[in-house]
Amino acid sequence: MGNYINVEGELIGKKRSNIGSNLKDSDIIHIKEEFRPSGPAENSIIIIYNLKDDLYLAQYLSWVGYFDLDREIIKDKNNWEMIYPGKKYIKENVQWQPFNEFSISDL
Amino acid sequence: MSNKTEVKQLTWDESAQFIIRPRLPQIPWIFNIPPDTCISSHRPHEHITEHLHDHLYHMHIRYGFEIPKQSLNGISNLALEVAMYVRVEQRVDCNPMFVARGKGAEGICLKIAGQDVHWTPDESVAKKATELYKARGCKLNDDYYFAGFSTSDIEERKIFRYDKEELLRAIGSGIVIDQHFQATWKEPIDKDIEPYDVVIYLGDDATNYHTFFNLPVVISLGGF
Repeated sequence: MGNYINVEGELIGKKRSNIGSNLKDSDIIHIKEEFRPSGPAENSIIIIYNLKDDLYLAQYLSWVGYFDLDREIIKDKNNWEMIYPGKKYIKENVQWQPFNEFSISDL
Repeated sequence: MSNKTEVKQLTWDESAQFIIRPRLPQIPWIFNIPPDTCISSHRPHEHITEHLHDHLYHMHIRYGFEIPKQSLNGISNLALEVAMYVRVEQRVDCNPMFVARGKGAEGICLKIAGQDVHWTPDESVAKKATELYKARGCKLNDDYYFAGFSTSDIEERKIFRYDKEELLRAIGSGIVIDQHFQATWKEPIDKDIEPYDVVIYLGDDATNYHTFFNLPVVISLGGF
């Protein structure tokens, strides 16, 4: 199920949880340094799901930059928040599972 | 007085057009892609500057093109357009235009108007390419779509048009450029991308000139 890491990067956006979902809002993070093999790659963008109190899961997004947030906000402005310019972000003890091996709705 | 009606024949350079001619890529080993290779799938690998998806399973899409010396008569400014016909489960992203190989597997970017050429997604280009492709009698496959892009500012969030003067200065007596794209799974998964042929559209937003060409996984001799 992946290892636990500390995530350091830049907070560029948030994905709001759906009404009725057990999930809390998710953070979109631009990773600025290389953390492989234990964590994410330099210049990658990841999403951190807040599954429960103090239980976080991080995965890669295939995103490249703010234009991906622009696209999602055009599609559904209520579901996304852009944070521009980005803010320094550190979160400890996050489960790192780089690839999408299951649906988040399965959790 | 003569009864003859004089018909003025337009020469090739009198109607506004921005001519781009596809060709084989010229600069091997940028992003570790060998010579004469247009399509190449890679697993996640070490970070390379300007490489967008090195941490994901990705498929490189690469071609060369030539912008010959031309007058640009009738053009005041334009944005370049490109569209790639890729699988629906995948997205594709653009690298800058490369004019030489840099350090290691890096490329050196073409600058126009003092800045690297960048691209931003443009749905109107995707629609335009789709319509032009259909107008040629080509059938669309539900498993694929045209992903469209226009040249952009450095932040890749706004379309950027180059002035005629800037274009003429960059083109000079003609330039040859390599263009790289990378397709990857929209939802990142732990799975190789099987290489496939990719149709490319090239055009601009100021003239009707455009071209389509096919990038095969394995090139044929004399194809370009």
